Amino acid sequence: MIGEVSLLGMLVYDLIIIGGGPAGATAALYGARTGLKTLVIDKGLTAGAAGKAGQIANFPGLGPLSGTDLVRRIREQAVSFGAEFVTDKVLRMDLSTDPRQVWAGQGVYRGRAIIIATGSMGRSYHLPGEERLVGRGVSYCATCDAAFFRGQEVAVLGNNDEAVEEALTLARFAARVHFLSPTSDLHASPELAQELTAHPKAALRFSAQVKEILGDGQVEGLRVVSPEGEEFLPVAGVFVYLQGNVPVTDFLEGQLPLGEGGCLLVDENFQTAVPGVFAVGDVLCRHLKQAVVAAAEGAVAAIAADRYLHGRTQLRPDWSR
Amino acid sequence: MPLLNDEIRQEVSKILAHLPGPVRLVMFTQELECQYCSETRQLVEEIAELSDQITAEIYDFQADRAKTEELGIDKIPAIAVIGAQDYGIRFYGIPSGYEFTSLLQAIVSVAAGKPDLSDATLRVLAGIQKPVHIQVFVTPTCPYCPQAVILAHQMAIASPMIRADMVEAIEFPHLAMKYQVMGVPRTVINETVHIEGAAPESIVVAKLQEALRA
Amino acid sequence: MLDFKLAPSQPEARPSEEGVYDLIILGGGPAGLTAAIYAGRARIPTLVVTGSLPGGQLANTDRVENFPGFPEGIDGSDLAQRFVAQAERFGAQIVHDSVTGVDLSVQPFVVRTYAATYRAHTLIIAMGAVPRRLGVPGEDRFFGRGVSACATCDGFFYRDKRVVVVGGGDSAIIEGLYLTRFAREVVVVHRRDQLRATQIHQERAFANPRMRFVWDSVVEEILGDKTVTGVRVRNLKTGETSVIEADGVFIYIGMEPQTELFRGQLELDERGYIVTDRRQRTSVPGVYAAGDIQDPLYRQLVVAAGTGAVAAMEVEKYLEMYPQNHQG
Repeated sequence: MIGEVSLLGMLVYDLIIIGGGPAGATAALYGARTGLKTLVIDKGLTAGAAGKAGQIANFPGLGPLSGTDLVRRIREQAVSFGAEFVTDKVLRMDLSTDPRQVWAGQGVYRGRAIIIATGSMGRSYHLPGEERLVGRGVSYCATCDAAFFRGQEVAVLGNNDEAVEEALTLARFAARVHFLSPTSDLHASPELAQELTAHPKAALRFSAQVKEILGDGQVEGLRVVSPEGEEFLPVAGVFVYLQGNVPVTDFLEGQLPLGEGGCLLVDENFQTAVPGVFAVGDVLCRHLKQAVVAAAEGAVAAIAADRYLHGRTQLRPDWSR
Repeated sequence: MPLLNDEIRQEVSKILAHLPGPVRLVMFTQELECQYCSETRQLVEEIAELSDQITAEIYDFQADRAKTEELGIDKIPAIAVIGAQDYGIRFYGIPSGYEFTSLLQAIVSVAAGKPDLSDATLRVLAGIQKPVHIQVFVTPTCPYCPQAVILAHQMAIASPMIRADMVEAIEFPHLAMKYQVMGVPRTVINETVHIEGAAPESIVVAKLQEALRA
Repeated sequence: MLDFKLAPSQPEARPSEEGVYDLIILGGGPAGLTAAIYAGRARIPTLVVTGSLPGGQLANTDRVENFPGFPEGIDGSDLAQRFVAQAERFGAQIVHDSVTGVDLSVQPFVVRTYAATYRAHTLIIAMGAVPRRLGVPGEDRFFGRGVSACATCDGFFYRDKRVVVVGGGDSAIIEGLYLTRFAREVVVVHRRDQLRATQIHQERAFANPRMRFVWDSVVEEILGDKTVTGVRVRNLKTGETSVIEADGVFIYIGMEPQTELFRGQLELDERGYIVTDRRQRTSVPGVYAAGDIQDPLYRQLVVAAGTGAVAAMEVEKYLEMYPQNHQG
């Protein structure tokens, strides 16, 4: 099962993996099995591309199965070898220290090697008023900003595990949380969905599209279109967890060079410009987004990370003359 | 306790679904049952249940001497897979593990009565005038072995002069020692010619011709 | 414990020699079969020439723990069977034969096997690697009769005997541990003074009472008369030679890419591996390589599968770009 992390900030992991989809979970499987103390920080089973995949029929060796089932199995396998998984969201990292530091919602994690496997379900600003009002009521992080909305009404845009978790966090502070799902149902785990639906402070709306975020110097409300019609919803803050299709690299804050299209650059061993920091999977902007390819890259990066940690500066074949 | 679980029974039923002709699994065992005699008998009976075209006949190695000699059986447990005619296909020892596939393939091929071999091979085999005995030594956990067994059995179907045995090395250690079997598959042709490993068809044919010249 | 395995199915009919395939995959291991799955799903007419053992090295592997998606682990042969079944389900034609030669200087490419000759617009070469030999006297003479590279095949014959395992990596240790189920003693002879195997395997090996280690040594000769009686080893540090009595020798010193057929036709690196870029392209347009035959570094099951998928997707793009080369 997904384990708890104790002694936050005191433990130093050999390997921290950001993102627990096929790439990250396979990296965790390989890392843990080879004896590395491995941690995976992941936003939730349905937060990524695999979670959206209905039926995967071409993963070799496995019959048709859902993306969530595939990822769940790989995670279980990784846990069986000792990998730890924590549900959290990475906000920023410091790659210049040794060990590196990874700031997430629940605290700071420290690790010697890092594998970035955050995928490409990220989005850039595209709602009218969104970019203008970032930091003035528009936020992407409840653990960061919930306290500013104590006793006020807020909106959450999204439908997956991450969105629901964040909404529940907000509900501890806000007077009311308007949960606006763009789809007709929630794409979150049954337990989380149940918790949200039953919460007295949560008001759920489905098939709701936000057309504009309104406000002068700060957020005053949303223009929302839903099957019930169009309306103005007055809120003091809006937390956005919608999904897009750009690489998730915002948390890097420029510490790693990005190429065209905001893509991370890596060598043939998936190492970035910073030794011991690797990136794999959809975050690399490959257009071949397949679970088995992501899994293969995760395995390669974990092996390369192991070699990095054990002092070899150059990868050698398994034998030499 | 059935030997074949439900999943395997289902798969086997599919494989045996459209047999073009009847197949007799003629099995030889004995009252004081030998190491795997009772399991081999059970296996034969379970397979026969999965198809109307397959019948299991169980004989006693000693008591049914006439039958034993008629089919040329010299050790047990033994299974002769016989269709419209007896092509000389035998399994000595239980065909478990990977050899289960060899048994199913033998049933399918015998029912059809046609060998799956290249034209070149068939031409060579058609010209054989002297008897050929092929023994393929295997173990149940050897993944390369079924290829060698199946190839030998196909040759037995192709020519009335050829008979071919799967011999499970663990159950017949004295034979394994006699033929110096230390790696499987090991094919012995007419006692004189040996092939290590699962060789391709053209090489087995060449070795067969070599054995006939000896 | 008796078990009954349904091995990968044999094809019902030999594929036609006429006509040109859009894609021929050389090799039926994890890389080749994953490529077949992807090509089949993209409806590319595909032929797979599997080589001597469908499933490749996977079919020889006792237990697989690290292929993602199988938290309980799975037998290598079972997994191989699943790959084959999946490839067939998606329409790949699989022929159980071995490649004897290719001609990459013409279009369509020519592929010769023991039984037939085929032509294809694109190729994916996924023939993997084979066990390296020691190259010492006695090795060839006793190969298959006391010298082996497959513990799962031949381990049984050494029940209560002593065997030597040559090597120090994961394969040598894992297979050595497997042999302790049969042999009364397994002597690991390694050229260095520490193992290259991963931690978890080293621990298991050192804890096993039937395993013993001879360090800093190489095998100079395999001795015997009618059967193997032992090996002569030389200590690289002291120069001393000695004889280790043994009934069998298992060689696990690494793998060699099966690239002899491509020498002079494809760019190979200095170790004989096919040179590919990140899109699995070789030095000849339309020819791709996947799996161990182009991977000296990682050689993992999932990595082979991943490169097979990439190669198949690249073939799809190539065929779309050059429609005049094929009929689609």
